[in-house]
Amino acid sequence: MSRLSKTAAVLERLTMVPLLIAGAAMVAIVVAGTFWRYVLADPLLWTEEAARYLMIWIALIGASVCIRHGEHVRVEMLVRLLPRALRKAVDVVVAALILVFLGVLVWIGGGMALEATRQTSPALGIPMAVPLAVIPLSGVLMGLHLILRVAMLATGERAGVFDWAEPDQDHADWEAGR
Amino acid sequence: KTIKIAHEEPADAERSAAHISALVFKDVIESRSNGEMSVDIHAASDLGNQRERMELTKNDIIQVNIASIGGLAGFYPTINAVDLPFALPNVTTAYKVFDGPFGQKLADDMEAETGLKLLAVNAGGFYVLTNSERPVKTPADMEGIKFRTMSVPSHIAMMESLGAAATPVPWDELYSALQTGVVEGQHNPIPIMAIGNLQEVQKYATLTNHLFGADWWVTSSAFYSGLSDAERVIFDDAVEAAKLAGRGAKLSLRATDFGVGFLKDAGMEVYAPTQDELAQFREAAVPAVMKTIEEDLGEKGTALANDLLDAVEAAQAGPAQN
Amino acid sequence: MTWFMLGAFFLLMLLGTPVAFALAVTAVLTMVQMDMLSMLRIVPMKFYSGIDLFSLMAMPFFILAGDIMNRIRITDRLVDLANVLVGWLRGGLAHVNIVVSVFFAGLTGAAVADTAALGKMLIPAMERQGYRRPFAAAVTAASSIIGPIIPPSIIMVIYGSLMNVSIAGLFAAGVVPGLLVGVGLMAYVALSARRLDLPKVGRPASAADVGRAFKRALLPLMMPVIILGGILGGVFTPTEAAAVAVVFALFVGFFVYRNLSLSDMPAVLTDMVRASGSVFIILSAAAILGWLLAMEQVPQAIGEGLLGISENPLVFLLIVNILLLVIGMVMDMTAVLIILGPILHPIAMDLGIDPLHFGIVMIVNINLALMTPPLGACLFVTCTVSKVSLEVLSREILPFLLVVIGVLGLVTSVPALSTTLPRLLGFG
Ligand code: NA
Ligand code: NA
Repeated sequence: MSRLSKTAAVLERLTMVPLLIAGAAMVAIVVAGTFWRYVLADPLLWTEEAARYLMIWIALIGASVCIRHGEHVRVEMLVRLLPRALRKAVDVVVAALILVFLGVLVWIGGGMALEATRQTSPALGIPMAVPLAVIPLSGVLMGLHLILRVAMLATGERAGVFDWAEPDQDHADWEAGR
Repeated sequence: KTIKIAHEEPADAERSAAHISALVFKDVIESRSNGEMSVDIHAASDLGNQRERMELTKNDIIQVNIASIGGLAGFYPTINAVDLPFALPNVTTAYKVFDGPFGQKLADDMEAETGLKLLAVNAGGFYVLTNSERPVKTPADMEGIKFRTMSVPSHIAMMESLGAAATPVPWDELYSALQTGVVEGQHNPIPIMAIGNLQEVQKYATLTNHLFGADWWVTSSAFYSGLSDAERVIFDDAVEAAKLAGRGAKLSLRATDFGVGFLKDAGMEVYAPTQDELAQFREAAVPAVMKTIEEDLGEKGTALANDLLDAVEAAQAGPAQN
Repeated sequence: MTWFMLGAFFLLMLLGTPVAFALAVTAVLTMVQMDMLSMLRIVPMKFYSGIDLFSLMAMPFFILAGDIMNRIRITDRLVDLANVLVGWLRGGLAHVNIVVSVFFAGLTGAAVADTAALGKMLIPAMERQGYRRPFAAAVTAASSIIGPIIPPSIIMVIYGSLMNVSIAGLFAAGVVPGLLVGVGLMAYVALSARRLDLPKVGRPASAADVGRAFKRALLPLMMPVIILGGILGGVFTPTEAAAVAVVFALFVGFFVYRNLSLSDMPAVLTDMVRASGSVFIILSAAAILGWLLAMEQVPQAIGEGLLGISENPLVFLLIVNILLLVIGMVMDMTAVLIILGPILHPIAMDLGIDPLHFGIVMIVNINLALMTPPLGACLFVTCTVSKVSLEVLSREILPFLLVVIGVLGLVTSVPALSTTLPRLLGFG
């Protein structure tokens, strides 16, 4: 394993562990909310909000892991027809444009999250900065994985920035947009 | 100069007071300015939810936003103190209060704190309390019924003080939640109920008129001070005309489409509580909500709530009450 | 500006930019081109609020439940049951393939995972009995689209959340059209069984065998009862039902079948996280561009253009069908739904089309896109599983495609097929 792919793997591990816990917590919270409301007839007021924040975190941070695995849905038909060198050039230009977008997420989204430290969420009463922090953080993580991918393209380790990492059955499923 | 005005109701000139008032605003501005100024109406939240539209208004991307108290509260929390249950007895008093010194003081404070300028409190309507369990005449009848509220602390406190089980359900799941009995009751103004077809899945309505949901017209100080004198005259006139139109439209919709008749036509049993019964609601709810106001908003919130009660008293003491 | 936006978006898509980033980058470039940098604030804002919807949560939950059910091998039990029911007909395994897809549809919300699981098992079995492999692959790919039409359905969760249409109502509305697709496919197999010389193996199963197979499949078959019964009976909302489905699948796997272990959990949760990541970011990005379109009043312009052609609801639905069929050939179905839904839905409402009817027409249509060449997710997966080339499968699937297009035509022109059941149950 090259240093680049090792870095990407470590980064993925660091994000996936909390995400898996968050995923399990999301299920548990919604089930608890159902139980308290339906069985105990004593609705909990915070479950909807807590689960919703977890979902947003899981989705947007999860999106960065999808970059590492090349799982984002795209139309490949035409790029496949391009000569290899041109394909690489196209991928790099596209990656640069995406980095601009991610920059907006980090810079402006980070500012928004900071401004929201004084607002509190309606049910949990936590600072709104907590849920909103996912915006810059997902931008940073997506950016890192994207840059690692571009670097792997430069070292010849990968043929494209956005193609699947391991083209096996699971990934065929993913690519298929399940 | 193009003015974008945004609201969340459907673009329906026959059934939405917010849209009617926006149309009047557009007409006055465009006809008076000989086409120098134009107005784009963005209905149905197409420029974003309450929070986003306020943010865009602050940044002068939307020039006029028709907001709810909830939308304003994200930027000016003190406004929650105005959401005091049973404070406003009827619409005419409510309009007098918001058009008078109380409204002006509120607007000044909001502008100083946030840079958002309150242009007018346009059309408003009262909340009704509905459920599918039993007729509610006093708070005792609410005991144990699961009422859906928004996740607003004062609304939750009010429901709980009345003996109900406050249950937050997202708006988009409310119809099926009521239908299937996930929750049994809810509170909203009748036109809002109509948008969600909630009358189909509720049996009993109580005209408690406990909260006053109004269309709060706001702009940014930056936009307003950037208007030339001539433009400002037209703009102010348009806001005034829109206010008359919106309020009138709301009242006439209440008499035609969205009043008690609407609920009855849908097969609901409607009850108007007596003064004594209303007093029981008020005595349970007001102290509980005052407590959350004090906890969440501090002295300033308490002072505003008391100012509101004083202003109501003054308005009712005046002539032409009904 | 609209042209700049369209041009940038299609260029980015053609260059192989992931859909989500094509949408977001288009929005950013357009704001820069319009010299409206203050609008950039909307980018992170919509990126967040675009998925700030509680009802969307049913999607990851249904993915999780489906994954667990695949893992605890309920497929075998369902195949056995279908086998005793229809396996003895001429073309028996083809019928089994379709019937299992219907069973599966009541359990899970996605099409593609089921295609893979069923294809791996049934295509070799069919080949051993003497079916041509491309035919076996075509049946598998075609019947797999029943999954998202019969509830539960991930795509209905997304549609309902985005368009503010009752998810429970959509679930109810999908039942009949989904069964119709199954019946249509089975009718085609039955009618052409002799012409195609499909094998006939074995004889009708005894009542005892049928009983035994039912018993073995009882727990999986209870899942739809719990989910739909729970939603319609007022026990829970669709989102909660999805969470309960997860718990039920876990319970069956851990304590009844005992073929699930704690060490499986990271893998199934990882699937859920990554599936959410790749779908939700499209929703987020589409919300950014959607805002810009609204700002420029593009949906109104498209609406007026479409209404200018005709104000007849049927003509509009026909245009929508053709539009989606064409776009569905080259684009991912979830992305199509997310991008076009918010534009087309309000027009349909203006024309007085029932929201549930319109929703089901859109949903059947985008599911059709899963099996339309050249780009159909279920085609790809089936190719991978069966090692049949895309060209051969594309040819072989044509008659099935015509059957589903026929059902789509029926569902489009007869609203009652989708609206009767939800109405009986009291939804919308
Ligand atoms: Na399904
Ligand atoms: Na199948």
